[in-house]
Amino acid sequence: MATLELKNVTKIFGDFTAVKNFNLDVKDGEMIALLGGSGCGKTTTLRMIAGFTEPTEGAIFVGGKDVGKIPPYKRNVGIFFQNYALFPHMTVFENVAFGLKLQKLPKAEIEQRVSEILGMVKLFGLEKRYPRELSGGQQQRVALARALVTRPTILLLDEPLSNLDAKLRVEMQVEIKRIQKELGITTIIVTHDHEEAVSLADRVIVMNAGQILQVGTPYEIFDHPNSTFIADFMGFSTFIQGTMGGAAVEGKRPVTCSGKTIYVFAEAAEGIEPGSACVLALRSEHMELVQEPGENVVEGVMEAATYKGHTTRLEVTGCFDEKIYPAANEYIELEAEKPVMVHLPVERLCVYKNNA
Amino acid sequence: MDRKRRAFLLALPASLALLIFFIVPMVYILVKTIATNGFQDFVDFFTDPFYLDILWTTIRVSLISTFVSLLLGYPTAYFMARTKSRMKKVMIIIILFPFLVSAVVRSYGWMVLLGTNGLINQLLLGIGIISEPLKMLNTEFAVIVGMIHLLIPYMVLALLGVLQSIDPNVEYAAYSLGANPLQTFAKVVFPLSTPGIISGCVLVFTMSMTSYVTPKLLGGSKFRMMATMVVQEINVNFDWGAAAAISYILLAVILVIQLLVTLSTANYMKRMGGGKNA
Repeated sequence: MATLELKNVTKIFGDFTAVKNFNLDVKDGEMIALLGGSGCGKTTTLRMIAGFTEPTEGAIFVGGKDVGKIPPYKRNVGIFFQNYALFPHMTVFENVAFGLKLQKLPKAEIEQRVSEILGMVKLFGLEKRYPRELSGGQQQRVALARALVTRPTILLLDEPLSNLDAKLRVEMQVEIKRIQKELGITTIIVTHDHEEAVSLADRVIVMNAGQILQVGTPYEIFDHPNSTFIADFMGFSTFIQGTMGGAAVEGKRPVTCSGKTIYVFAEAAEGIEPGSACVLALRSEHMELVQEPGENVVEGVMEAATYKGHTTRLEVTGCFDEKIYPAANEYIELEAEKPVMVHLPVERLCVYKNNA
Repeated sequence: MDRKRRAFLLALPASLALLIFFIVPMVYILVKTIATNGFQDFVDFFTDPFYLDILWTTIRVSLISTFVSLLLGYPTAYFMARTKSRMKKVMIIIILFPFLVSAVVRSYGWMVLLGTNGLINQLLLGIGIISEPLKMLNTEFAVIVGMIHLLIPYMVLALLGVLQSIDPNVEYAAYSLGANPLQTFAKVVFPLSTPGIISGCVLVFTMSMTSYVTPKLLGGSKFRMMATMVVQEINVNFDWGAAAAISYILLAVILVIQLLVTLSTANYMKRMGGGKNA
């Protein structure tokens, strides 16, 4: 258990800069998610913390100590690999006991600690099985137990939920969080899945092209992304171009979008000059279908409807130059060209400068 | 059913060729020998120290060649399995290069190097390390050197296939759990590569047991292995019965050794079966 600090870390492969001037401070016991698409440098960052590859520039500190010269097998960093990377020729017990045996602990203590950690990940009676005899979820628990049993100072999780089906995901999400809090291990999660990041981490770091784009709590990142790029990545579906209106009235400012006036909160539009181009962003599930006209209610026609079980996602044209994609919590039959009214709640609208 | 029949048809040409050109003559030789001399030729082989010595020489040369090929081939194969260099394709071509030159030509190459007036002797004499030329050509040493040169590519390719299939993350996992590179090799990489070691060794051992050109050209007239002895029985002694007996004994020895290897590793291989997880 320790703090983790990355100072001006840069990693260059040939003529490709994988990570650029990366700075990060992780508190003792904190859980951080590195979120980004493939090739954003998140996995390279993880590998540098583990010591598998050296930073081209900058330094990594664990508990205030520079670990640059320490080989990976002396760093005491626990890693959970996306593909689990269990030792296929060893039983569950041997897999988990691997690190403890290397520490030359007495046999009784090894057995006690292995059974303790297997209990923690809720794997009982499978000690003698080989990895290929286990289900995906069981293999994952073994991998987690193996990474935790040596009591690492830092735990690294690479896409910990991505290979699981929906039900197991929720279960493991709760487990990982519970175990992490129980042991108080400083943890870094690497993931491309925003739901995985916001559900597990105390703090989320959004990365792109080797750089940090935004750092914030899951709530901040999920509801108030600081750019259209992140909004798009975090699952915002609807983006509307507009022109920012004048001064705030009752805390709201008008935006003219395709000739219609949409109000946004003044604090959401801070720093955007009147008359400048801007973009409004909104999630599908935050738009509602209404019957009466009113403020921020626009009219359009239904073009497509996709039933998704708990919601129906609509494609609506005619409100703006862009299509909008509201979602309804009920089954809606597609009726092409059917007029609909959509409310864009002022408290849900995110506003960005349009730099394009 | 239809699929099965079609698969059978696909296997038919090769199976027929094997049957007509290999199995039939083999059976013919055996039947003919037993019909003429009974089992006398086999009894002679096992009661004559001359023959037993040849069998032992063959096994010894093959075991040493196999072991050295493994020792030299493993690091090469491991490096090639893990390198991300664009030169990897070139490396594989270089490994395959010896296949383009026949064993005869390669043996003559070794003659040039190992002979009494060969390059190595001239070099050592020139520097003054030795005062008399070393006798290297026409010795068991020369045969083993030539054999290893011939067989290393097979060993490397057999190992490369298996080593490439080992997930590099498994090695990283071992590091992260505190295993240094040596421990990682001993406890993870080596055990996981045993299928390649076994198939490579069986292949190389078999090829070495049955080799003819290398012992003939590099071993000299007094050096005998099983395959050269078969030819000698036919061409020099005109003793077809002895030749047949030696052929069958060679075949039997190889089969028995392969069987022993398979049986002794069956348990382990079964556990490793589909051993790749996730």
